[in-house]
Amino acid sequence: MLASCHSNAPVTADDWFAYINDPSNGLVKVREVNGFRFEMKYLPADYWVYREATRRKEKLSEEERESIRQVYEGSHHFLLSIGTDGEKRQEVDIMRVGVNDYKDYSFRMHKMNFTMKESFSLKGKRHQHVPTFANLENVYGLSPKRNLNLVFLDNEDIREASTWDIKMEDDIFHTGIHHFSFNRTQLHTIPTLTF
Amino acid sequence: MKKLLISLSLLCLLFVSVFAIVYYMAQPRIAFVNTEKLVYEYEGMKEAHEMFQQKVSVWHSNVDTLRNSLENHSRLLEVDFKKLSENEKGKAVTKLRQEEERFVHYARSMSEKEEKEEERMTQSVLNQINSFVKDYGETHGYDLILGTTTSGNILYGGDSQDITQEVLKALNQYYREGGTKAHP
Repeated sequence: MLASCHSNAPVTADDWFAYINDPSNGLVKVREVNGFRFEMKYLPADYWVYREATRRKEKLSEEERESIRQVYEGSHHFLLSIGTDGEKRQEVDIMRVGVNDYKDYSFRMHKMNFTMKESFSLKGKRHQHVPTFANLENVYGLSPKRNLNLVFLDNEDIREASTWDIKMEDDIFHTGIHHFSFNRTQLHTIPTLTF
Repeated sequence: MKKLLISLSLLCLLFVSVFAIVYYMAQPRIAFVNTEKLVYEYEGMKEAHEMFQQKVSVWHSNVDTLRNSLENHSRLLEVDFKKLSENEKGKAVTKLRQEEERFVHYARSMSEKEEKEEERMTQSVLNQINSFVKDYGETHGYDLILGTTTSGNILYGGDSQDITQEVLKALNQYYREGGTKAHP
C-alpha cells in the first residue's frame, strides 16, 4: 500500500517508520566503500513530534504537536549512521577500525566529536550551505556504529533547489568524497503520521 | 535399424550439447579495465582533484606571501644598511637569517603537506574505485577483472573483454546518484 501510494495520507506509526526507513522511498541514501557503510537518513518534522510525544507521559494536544512541528520545520535534519558493512568487515567499533596507535584514535575522536561540521555541505540552488549543527551521539559502548545528527537551517536557496545534495568529505576513514542526493519531490510526499 | 541410428545420433548430439554448455559455464569469466582511463575519467577523482587544487592554491599563496615579506625585509635592509652601526648591522643580519630559516622550514613543511594530501586524496579515490569494481564483478558474474597499467601487465586484450566503459558509466552513476553499488 505504502509503495504504491506516494501521497500525504495519514498512516500508523509502524507503517510510517517503515516508509521513512525504506531506501526505495528516497529518504535514505547509502554509500559503501572499502568495508565502511555510510547511511544518510532524512528525518521529517513528524519524527521529532513523535519523539516528543513518546517522551512525555501525557498525550500531546493538536496545538502542541503543531507547535513542535513548526519548530522543526525551520530546519532540515539528517542522521548519518557510520558503520562497517558487515560483509567485508566484521561488526567492530567504528572508532577503532584502521586505527594504528593512540594518536590516530585521538585524532578520530576529536574530529568526530568537535569538527565534523567542516566535512559536510548541502548544495542549494545556487550556494553551498554548511550545517548549523553536527553532533555525534554517545552510544555508551552499546553499538559498533556511530550516529551523527546534522542540521541545516532552512532558507530560500535550499527551498528552491529541486535536489538536495549533501557532500561529505571523509578524511577519517579515507573513503573520499560522498554525495547523498535527496529528491525534493520525494521529501514532500512523505505520508502523514497518525498520532 | 534406421530408427535406432537416428535415435543414437540424436542422443549423441544431446550429450555433446550438454557437455558444451557445461564446459562453457565452467570457464572463468574474465575481463579487464583500463585503469588509467577509469581513474582519470571518474567524476569522484575529478572532484577530489579540484578540491585538492584549491587547497594547494591557498598553501602556495601563503608561501608566496611569506617569500614576498622576506624579500621586502631584505631590500629594506640593503637600503638602510650603511646607516646602521656595527652592532645594529649584526642584529639585523641575524634577524634576517632567522626569518629566512623560518621561511625555508615553512616552505618545506608545506611541500610535505601537499605531497601527503595528494597521496591521501588519491588513495581515497582508489578505495572507492576498487570497492566498486569488486562489487561490480560479483554482481555481474565475473571471476576476474584485471586492471591494465602502463608497465604492461596486460599486453593484449580483445575488445569483448574490455569492460572499461561499462564500469566507468556505472561508477559515475553511482557516484552521482547512489543506489546499491552495481545497480545504481
